[in-house]
Amino acid sequence: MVPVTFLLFEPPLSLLPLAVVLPLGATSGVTAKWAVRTLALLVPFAVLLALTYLVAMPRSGDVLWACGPFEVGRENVFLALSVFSRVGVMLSSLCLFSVSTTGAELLTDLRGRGVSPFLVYVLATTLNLVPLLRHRASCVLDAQRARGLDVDGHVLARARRLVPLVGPLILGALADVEKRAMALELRGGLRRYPVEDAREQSGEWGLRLGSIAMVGGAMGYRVWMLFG
Amino acid sequence: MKIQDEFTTFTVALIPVAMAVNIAVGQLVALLKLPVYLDCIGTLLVGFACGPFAGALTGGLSNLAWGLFSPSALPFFPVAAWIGFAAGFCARWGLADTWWKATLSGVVVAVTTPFVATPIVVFVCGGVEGSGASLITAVLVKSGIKVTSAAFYKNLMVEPLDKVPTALVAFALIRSLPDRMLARLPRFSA
Repeated sequence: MVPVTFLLFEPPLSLLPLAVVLPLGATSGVTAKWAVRTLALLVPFAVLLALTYLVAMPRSGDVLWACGPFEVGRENVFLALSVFSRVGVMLSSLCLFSVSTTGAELLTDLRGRGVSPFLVYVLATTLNLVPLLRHRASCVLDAQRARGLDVDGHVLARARRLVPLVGPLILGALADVEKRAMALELRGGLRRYPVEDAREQSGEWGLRLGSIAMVGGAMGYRVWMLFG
Repeated sequence: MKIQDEFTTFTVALIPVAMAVNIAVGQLVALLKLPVYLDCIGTLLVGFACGPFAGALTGGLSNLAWGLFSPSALPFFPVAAWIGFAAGFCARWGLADTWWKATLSGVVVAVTTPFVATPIVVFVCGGVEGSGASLITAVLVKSGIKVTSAAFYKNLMVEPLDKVPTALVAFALIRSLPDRMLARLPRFSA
């Protein structure tokens, strides 16, 4: 859906992928989580976009709205809406993937489809390590706080406090690398897993063909707009 | 050094750890509300220690993995890949041997990154990112500069504040590694 919105480029056409994303999100079983995560990313973006395109940018086109020294032009609004529609579709699609697919599911699927064992190993190790490092970071933070570290205050003071937090965290992680390298060598490197039939839900092929058709249609439309 | 020489077993083991460090430190820095990202310490570490292609792979994959937690990081994976590549190239030219050379590497990475980042920021997000640094873009636009140039200058202003400390941390980390680990890193074993 992301390539489609960028090929169609301007509203209302760039919002067309929402006709697929919204029903999928609504029936995903994680609708609330998806909506919260998408809005958490979109709202600050919308504020900064409005500030840049409607307040900071010189007025372009007819005045749509005026308040004191500020005048909002028609073209400014159209530009801001174009960007917002594309980013909105992109973030809502990616957030839906993010909240509906766990790391383990993704890796099992990638492995089943015969993806490079290096890629599967790297992603699996990273996805396992991130929560571990997060936990370790919170332990280090708590330990440093117990010793009187203040995590509030001036920016420079907070930057100085980063060193005792990050140092043990990274050095601890690097100490594991040697063990991991030895384990890899003992296993004789990374081996490709046999390709299995990836579990696919009914209708997945239809969705895939529909997506390809939408991308093809959007490309055709873009070419027609350029040369037609 | 050939590309395959960069990918020893030790590098393969180091890459996911460096990627996890990128994500965890990035989140820790956000928790401390610092005006920097420091989310590519692992990328620069691999670039400095293993080479440009290992660095680029670490950076690119790091943003792809981070995209599973924070989707807004996903479109910027070529930027992260460039950062790792540039760091590796600097190290190949001896710019990671002392602290001041590492600082210079940070400057090189910071100055070249906007050339990769700006087209993505402008095409994907219209020149506006979700971070507070976009206020600089807004101020520059208000002063009459076009959005593309404003996004470029903003990156040029912000990147050195982030990449120079990152390069110094990566350098310090390599220096603090024991000799037996250093001997297994491609750049030091070659």
